[in-house]
Amino acid sequence: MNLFIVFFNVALAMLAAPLMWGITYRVKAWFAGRHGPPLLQLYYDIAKLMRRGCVYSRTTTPIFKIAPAVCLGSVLVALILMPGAGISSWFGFKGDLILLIYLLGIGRFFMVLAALDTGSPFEGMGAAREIQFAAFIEPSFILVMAVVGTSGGGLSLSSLFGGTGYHNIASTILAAGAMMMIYLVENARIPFDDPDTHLELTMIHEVMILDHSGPDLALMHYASSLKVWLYGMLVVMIALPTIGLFPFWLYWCALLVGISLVAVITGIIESAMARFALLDIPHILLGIFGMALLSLAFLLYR
Amino acid sequence: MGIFLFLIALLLFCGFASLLRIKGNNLIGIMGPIAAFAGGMPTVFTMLVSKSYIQQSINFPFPFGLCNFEFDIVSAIFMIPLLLIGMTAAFYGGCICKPEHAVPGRPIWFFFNLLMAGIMLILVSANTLMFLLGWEIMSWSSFFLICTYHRKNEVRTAGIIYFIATHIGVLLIITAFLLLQGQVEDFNFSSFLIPESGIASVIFILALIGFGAKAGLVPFHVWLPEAHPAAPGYISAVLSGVMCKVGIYGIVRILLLMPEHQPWWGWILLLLGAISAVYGIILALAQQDFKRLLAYSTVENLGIISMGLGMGVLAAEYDMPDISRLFFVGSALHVINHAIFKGLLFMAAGSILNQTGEHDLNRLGGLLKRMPSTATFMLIGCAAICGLPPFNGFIGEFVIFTQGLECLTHESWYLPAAAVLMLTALGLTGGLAMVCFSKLAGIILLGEPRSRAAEDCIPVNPGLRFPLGILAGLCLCLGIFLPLLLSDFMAWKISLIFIILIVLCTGLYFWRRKLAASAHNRTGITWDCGYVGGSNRIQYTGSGLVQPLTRFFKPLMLRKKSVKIPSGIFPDKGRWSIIYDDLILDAGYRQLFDAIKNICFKLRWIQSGHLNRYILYIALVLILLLIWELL
Repeated sequence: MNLFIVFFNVALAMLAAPLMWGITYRVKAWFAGRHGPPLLQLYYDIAKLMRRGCVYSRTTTPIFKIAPAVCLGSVLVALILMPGAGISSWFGFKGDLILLIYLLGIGRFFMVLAALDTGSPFEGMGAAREIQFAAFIEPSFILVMAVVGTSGGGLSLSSLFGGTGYHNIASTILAAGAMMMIYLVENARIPFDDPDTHLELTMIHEVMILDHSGPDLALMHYASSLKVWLYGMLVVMIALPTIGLFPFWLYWCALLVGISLVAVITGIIESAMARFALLDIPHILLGIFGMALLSLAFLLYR
Repeated sequence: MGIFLFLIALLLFCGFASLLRIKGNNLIGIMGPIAAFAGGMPTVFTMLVSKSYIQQSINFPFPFGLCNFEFDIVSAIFMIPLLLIGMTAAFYGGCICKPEHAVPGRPIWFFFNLLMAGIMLILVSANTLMFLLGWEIMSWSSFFLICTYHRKNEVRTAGIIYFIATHIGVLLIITAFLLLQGQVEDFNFSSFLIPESGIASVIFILALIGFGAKAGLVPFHVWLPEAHPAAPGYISAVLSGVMCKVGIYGIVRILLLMPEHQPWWGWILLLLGAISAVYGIILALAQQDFKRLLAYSTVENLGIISMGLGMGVLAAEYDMPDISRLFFVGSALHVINHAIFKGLLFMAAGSILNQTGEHDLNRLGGLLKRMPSTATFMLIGCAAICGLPPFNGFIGEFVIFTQGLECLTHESWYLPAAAVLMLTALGLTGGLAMVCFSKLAGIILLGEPRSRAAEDCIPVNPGLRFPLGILAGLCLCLGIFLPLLLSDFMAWKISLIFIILIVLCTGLYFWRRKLAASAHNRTGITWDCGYVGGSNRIQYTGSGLVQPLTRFFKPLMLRKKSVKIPSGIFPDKGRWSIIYDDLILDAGYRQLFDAIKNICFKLRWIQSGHLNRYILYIALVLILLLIWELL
């Protein structure tokens, strides 16, 4: 059974993850009064890129080619840790939530190295911002994971379902809010990064993969869409702990709907807000840390 | 037990023999640490497996008397870095054949062997005099090793700072031991008194400062960022990987010698650890000299170890013995792992320094193409020190993290508060370490060379691959297999997940290669948006990479900015530099020592140089003593 959970989690993520990109962009287009790209646009892009050749810079080393594989591999391994339908994953163990954070770290480390490997000043700039935000967000992520681990007991990702309801509504709301913010920061979305502006202005994630092309770029896009899916899953599970009580099939449908909803919210935020000034972002990240800390305090206060 | 006493004698013999003016004396000096590794490791492993305890008493002539030697599990844990890093560093030192290294050859091996003998004596002695003897041998020999390139001015300064720090430290340690000693006949640990709580706290504080100065805990760390860049790379590896750990060993030993602990000791250890970890990594990422960066990162890692110890003490005080034990296990794992990857990084940094002669990482770049083996090993070390799976840095931090989460559910609010502090500090440190080491790896090894020296650099002597390769291999193997030793978790799953990760990433890599091979691939320049006038200096520098963070943490550092704007009719070259320095050394200790110096200068009239005045002083003292006797 637990192995089935791993299979379903990975299969659903691999099939549906690029769809979330389409949903977000359709929502943004709807707000702007445009028709927008097809929902399946990212699938088409990935399929097209897979057939194309690559352009490699003479500056690059094998690190540049290893990075896409590591980015995708580490997200996939992170996905096999996730529980589903009220049951823990076969790979789950006490403390797997810490391993999850570190697994996502490997992908980032290699992406930053690949960006620096090209010697391009743009990519260096993107790398500098990416790791700065990641460093500031890490304590918040760990505290949110501490809320997850202690609220359900068991200190593992399966305790996302440990509670049979809301023990502490304030804590849950704050944790879900903080997780949503972490989702936006880690996936380089507005209001922390604007994926659609021109090169040197604001971009973080997009500028780091500027030199990747062909199958490399496809793997990078696919890895980042899986990352969106993974963080979306965490948001849904923290906000709706009762989802674990649903019957098996209903659970997967609910999960899909929930993550799509997170994608819709992302689209709404992106349409309604401007990006924060770059120099203010560290202070806002400290605010997210405050949310996570408060959430933990509410949970532990008896 | 006897094996270690024999090894100490062997190391001393090899040290003195390497001083002789005979052919192959360097080889004798190198063989000492290697023989110690071969001889000591089996005993260490049997000890770790059997979890037993060996004791031996030997009657030494006056003033030592009957001395006890003990070898327990704590000694065994700290013995591993000593033997392993000692062996690889000796191997590395032996393979370097550049002339500037060959000149100070004989004294280096003398002091190197002495340093190892001193540390080994500390680890096995259960006797105050033997412990302090080992401590002094370690302090002196390491001072001479730091001053290897004594002709350079900054090396002498570094040596003097180390000398002062280590001697203030040893003064406090001696005082702590004297207080613990009380009025007994022999100096063995077994005959120590059990101090009452007030005295025990004084002893703990003295020992914490004394040993903390050796371990490099903030604010007693100031010698460390000076000394490590001054010494050759393989010496820094031993200093950082082994000698700093002896400070931690001292703290653990003092905690074990005192049966009752106070909760606030745990808090002090935790706070010092948290401050060291965060402050150390912030300063590390701001550095431009890559060996200074590694030295500050040592401060950070010893902070993590100290946090683990502090939480261990706290958890024990709040009746959670299992969790406390695992905190100590986590710290012990980090002691061993840190020695391995920091040794690796320091030796790789030493190779880069030898080949390029460049201290400043902003003037390097593209070394992965020019020194492939060294650079690959350095990359592995960087990934390991960030705690990334599947390397060995992960497991120690993981155990400490998980036990921190366990502490959150305790009834009293002290322990959860401590755990939240620790989780936050460890999380922030982890994130910043990633910045710091992507800077180290990304700027030095990747991109295009930023200077002539980096461009023309050639690969190192192939023999150097072995010591670095051993350590890099251990980073990976220990990362995968160490979790199997932790029976308290379902930790075999970690090993399994790591193997899956490696297999998956390798598989994806080859699949990608196959896909790319079937299409038409081209090579060109890095995409420059059509601007073709760029030189290699246009690349992002290390300072640029961390600028957002140095800007944010500016209040914690001393910012030294020097700007020279070209001006006049015939302007000369302009210059612009920012260096981030240690606030504690420059604004703290220098001020303090300057104040002491001023007071001393004010008292100089006492020392007038007139003989008749000195005779007067003697007479006055005699009269005072007479009066005191009469009273």
